[in-house]
Amino acid sequence: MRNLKVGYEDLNENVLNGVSLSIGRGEVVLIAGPTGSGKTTLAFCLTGVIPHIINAKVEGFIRICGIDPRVRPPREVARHIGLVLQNPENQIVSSIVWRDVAFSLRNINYPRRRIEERVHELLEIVGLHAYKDFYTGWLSDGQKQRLAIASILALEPEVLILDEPTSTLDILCANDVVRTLKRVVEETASTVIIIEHRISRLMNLATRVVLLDSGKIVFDGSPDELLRKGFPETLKGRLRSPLENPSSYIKMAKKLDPPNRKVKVKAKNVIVEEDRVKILKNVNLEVFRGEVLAIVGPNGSGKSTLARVLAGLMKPRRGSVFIDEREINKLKARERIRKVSYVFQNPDLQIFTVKVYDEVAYGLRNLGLPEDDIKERVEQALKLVNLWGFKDKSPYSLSRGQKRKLTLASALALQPDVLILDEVTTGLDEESLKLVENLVTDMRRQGETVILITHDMPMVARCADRVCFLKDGEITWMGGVREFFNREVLRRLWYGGV
Amino acid sequence: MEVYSAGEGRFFERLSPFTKLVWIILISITAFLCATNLSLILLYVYVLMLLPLSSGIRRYLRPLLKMSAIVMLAISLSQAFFYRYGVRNIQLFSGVVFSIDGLIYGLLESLIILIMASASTLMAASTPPEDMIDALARIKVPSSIGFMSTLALRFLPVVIEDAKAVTRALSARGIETSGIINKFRSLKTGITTLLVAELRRAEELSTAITLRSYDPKTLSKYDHEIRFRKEDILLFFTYSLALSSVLLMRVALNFPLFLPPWSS
Repeated sequence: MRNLKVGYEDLNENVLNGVSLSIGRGEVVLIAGPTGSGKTTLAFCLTGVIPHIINAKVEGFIRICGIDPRVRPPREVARHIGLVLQNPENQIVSSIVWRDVAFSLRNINYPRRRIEERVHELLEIVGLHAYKDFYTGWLSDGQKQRLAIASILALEPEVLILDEPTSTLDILCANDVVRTLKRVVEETASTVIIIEHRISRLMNLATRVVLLDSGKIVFDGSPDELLRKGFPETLKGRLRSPLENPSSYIKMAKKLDPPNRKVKVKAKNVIVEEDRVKILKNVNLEVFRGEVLAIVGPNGSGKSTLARVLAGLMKPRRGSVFIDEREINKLKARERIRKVSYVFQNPDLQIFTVKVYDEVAYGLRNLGLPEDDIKERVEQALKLVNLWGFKDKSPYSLSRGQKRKLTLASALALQPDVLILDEVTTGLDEESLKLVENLVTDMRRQGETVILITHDMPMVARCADRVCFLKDGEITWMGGVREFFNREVLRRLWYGGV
Repeated sequence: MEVYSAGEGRFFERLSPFTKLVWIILISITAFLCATNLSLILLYVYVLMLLPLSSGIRRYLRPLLKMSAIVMLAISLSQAFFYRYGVRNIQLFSGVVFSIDGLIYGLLESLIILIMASASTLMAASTPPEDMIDALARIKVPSSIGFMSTLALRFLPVVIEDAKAVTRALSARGIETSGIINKFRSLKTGITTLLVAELRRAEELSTAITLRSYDPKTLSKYDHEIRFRKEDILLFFTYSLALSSVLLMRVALNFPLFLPPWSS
């Protein structure tokens, strides 16, 4: 690439501002940068998604494997440059694992008789050969991501680009994907470009690190060089440290004053079943007034289900949940949301109006509050998340990170006693993360209770009082933050079982 | 965890999807044409006997039983109260007549539906969606339509989960969502949210498919081969036995071969 500039129609500034980059065969390049730095736009330009599918003005010189992706259709470019998108769910076309990989092979006219053998090889590379005949819907997020990688590898690309492959994954799944990428690099000798927010996991794999900020390259060098020099000034505090590990989390853990020991929320003998499968198995939990409780665990362990039960959004098959000693499922919706507010993982499924202001006001209007009170609360909530300037805009025009902040504002405006945040930090950059952390800390200071469902260990370290580890529907560990980040405890919980 | 595998699993999983499709069509035609109570019961028993031959049928059993009970009750009772051609009637009160003939006729009708529903459920339980589409491709349904149908089937569970998530999100904003009436009301509010989310998903999916070098012309060259195994022949053999029994019974009882009893 030479002097690559990309601008979208509805934005005044270019997203990429004169990027010049040369990547050699066999390199493993890690491209990182804060939200809005142009990483995904770069990936889309290299694969022809821009301008063929997404309309944008592209200037400058691009050649990848000798091809100008602006000229050739994306379908043809895909045979040379593979792109694995962020959300694996939206890349899997088949209900059965092996068929999804076979779909790619059929698209390149692979000889019919050899498809089965090739599918097996590809699934071996990504470690999914044992799941060949499984429903894709039953795979974990990490397995889905690995399947997406196998399906793109089937096209035999010379260059493989991965757009934030681990951003939504827990530690185990993320490590699996990183191990898979290592195998891919070893066995296919492809050139690999990985776009990520959080680079610590990939520093051992990458041969080169490129940092983007505001559409420009601000660092281009080896991982060792980055570790020696540190981040450029403009990126300090805006990207996660490349040295993130459990011992650094202990240092992050603040000494917090112990919260009030009065029980705010209590789950008693809770069992949740779905399709005769136990998702929560006899869970007993007390959450205290004014504390921040982090619920962590592998994907599929039942964290979100537990959070929904605690919020009264799901009835357990057996057992009860009490808030201020009142059974939560017996409360009417209006009464319940004054006590407990919930922010879900996917912001797209929580937007119900066409204006940012109305979106925050929606819950307040359902409570029947006077319009003056609503105006005051909406303004306060939007200013807390730095979205007051967008109050008249459509929520659908916001970026994903802004939508997350909007859903947070909608919950904060209700001024609940308990706030439950379900993976709200996924995909947020460091600045937005700090904003969320500050909000959580403020709520704690005001004596309100926060329950965090998160994979974000630095957030747990900085904000939580206690950690509850959930595995296979059961609480397998509960304790203080500093105890949790003990290396032995972490290893036992995530890898060894308790 | 259900597992589908071409050529593995129980009897029904091993059958060719084309065989299963033809079998369902034959069963449906037979159910409509050979319509005496006894022959229909025989046909229904035949289909029910085949249910355990699929490893995937377990999760469909309860919904199937529920649906069967509702269909039988609804149709039989409606015919019992509205059937005009019956002779055996019971006068209830103020002109309301309960027809025994109507009840029997309703049971007959519901059996036809249950036979088709059970046979279709058996196919759905034992056949991956793509195989079902492949079977349709053998009868010249264009592969691009087949592919779109595959995607629709693949994402149906995802859309259902999203719909549940939207309902929960509404509940979290103070909307009552328990009970059928409240659920319907909340659906009115949530439908736009769901539509927008699924359109975005469709857009992303379309990009992902393009990035997999999708070309409908290339894909159509890979039409599923029909390979008949001994299990396929066995299924047709069992069907022919069932059909023969039904026809023999009609002949023995002096019924017209292919006309339902109410036509005579």
